[in-house]
Amino acid sequence: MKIPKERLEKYRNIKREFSEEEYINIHPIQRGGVLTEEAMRALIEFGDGYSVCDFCPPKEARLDMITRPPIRDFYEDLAKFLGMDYVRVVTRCREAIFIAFKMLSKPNDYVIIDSNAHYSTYLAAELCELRIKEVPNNGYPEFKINLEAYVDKIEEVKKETGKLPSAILLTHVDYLYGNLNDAKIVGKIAKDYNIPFILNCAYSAGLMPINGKELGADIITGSGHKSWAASAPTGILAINESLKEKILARSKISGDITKREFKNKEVALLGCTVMGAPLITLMASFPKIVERVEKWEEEVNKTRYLVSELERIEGFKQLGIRPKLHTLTHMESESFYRVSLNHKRKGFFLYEELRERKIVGIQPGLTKHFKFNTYGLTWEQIKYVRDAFFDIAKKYNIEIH
Amino acid sequence: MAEWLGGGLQTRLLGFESSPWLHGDLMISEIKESINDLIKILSILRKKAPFHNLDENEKKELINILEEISKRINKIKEEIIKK
Ligand SMILES: Cc1ncc(COP(=O)(O)O)c(C=O)c1O
Repeated sequence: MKIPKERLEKYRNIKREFSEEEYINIHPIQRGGVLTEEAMRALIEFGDGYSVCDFCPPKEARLDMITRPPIRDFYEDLAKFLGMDYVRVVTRCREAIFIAFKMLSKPNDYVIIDSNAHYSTYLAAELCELRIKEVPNNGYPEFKINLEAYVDKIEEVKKETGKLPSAILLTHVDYLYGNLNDAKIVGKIAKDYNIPFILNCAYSAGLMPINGKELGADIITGSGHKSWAASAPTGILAINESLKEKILARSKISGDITKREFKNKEVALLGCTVMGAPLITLMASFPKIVERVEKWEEEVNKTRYLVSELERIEGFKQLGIRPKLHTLTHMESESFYRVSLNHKRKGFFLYEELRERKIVGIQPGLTKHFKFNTYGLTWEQIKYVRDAFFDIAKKYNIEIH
Repeated sequence: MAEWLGGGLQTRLLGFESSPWLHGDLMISEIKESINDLIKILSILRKKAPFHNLDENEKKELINILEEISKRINKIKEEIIKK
């Protein structure tokens, strides 16, 4: 079927409305994925199709074996950087979790996850036909995961099924409150029971220093577009030697007529994964990532400063663990909610007031509470965000202490 | 045999590790370097969003980059004329 020419016009010159050059975007998912200069350049150089496959080695035709551009070296360096033995770049963190669940379990098995896990962790389990048990958090206002309760959940599964869960997963930093969990506690529990431990570092690896071995992780999952200054889709699956055979199992299938076999392909990856520009952005940003994780403390300091300033506004209260250990923040804002009740734009007033001041990323419609992330903002930008909130508070006669 | 393994088509046809064409001509490299320099300017401006208030040092830095770009564009023009 022919598509009318006029209809196609809108695809020709697509522009992002909230470009990083013109707006301060404080959406929790956006800050860690802002490209470095090197990655922006790489996008142009490697934008065409299968751009990284020009020198795919014929004897080992696999993404992780390519040396021009230096993908093989990158995988080695990335594994080292995370304190793990092997790495594969996949399309998303959720795919890494899915692969881990799939390769470690059989349908109907149990996996244990924390109750602050991202929805995609649940879906990954569902697609693998697994059952889940959630480890509870302590509720309002901290929502802190009770890490010791992993033991109770393991025992529950043992009692119910007569066997151990296939894996336990902890979200290192959750997307709801930005709570940082002490992964070592769960790592130790996993080791005691000899259960594979998946540490989901979507919001930590790439931003702060991570050493999988020190934390007791058997698998680390990460998100390039969330935390590694890379374009979507990019995810990281890092594993330790003990699970290599299971997770990176090679293909065994053969054609009944052709007898074709693909013995060097890794089944769970369906051969190759990210064969172009997104992978290259991840690689191009890597040197800066190695540098930036060392400056994590400064990033947290900026967040703590902004939180303490915003809490001067009547009715503002930071939720989650205090003081902040991560740049993703959940703020309760009762006073703005009260404004919204009588405002002609209702809950949208806050979003619109901020957008007028060139700040975006607060979910439209929310005023009672909202989330933001300050990662990578300069001090000047942090103070500008504070001033914008103060300005809005003053406009609606809300007190600033 | 390699074909049975899948992938690696280009390398099989052209020979692995042989790439004399990789080091492109001056005109192309100047075009790409100009784009890179403009990207450098964008990255600086990103840190100054939303109003791009620049101090004297920042202005100087941006102007230096722009001068580099002008030189490159002149080289590109020369190369095009030579073609
Ligand atoms: C904790 C956590 N894990 C995983 C994801 C999904 O990441 P990806 O888009 O790379 O699959 C998110 C996204 O917000 C997340 O917050």
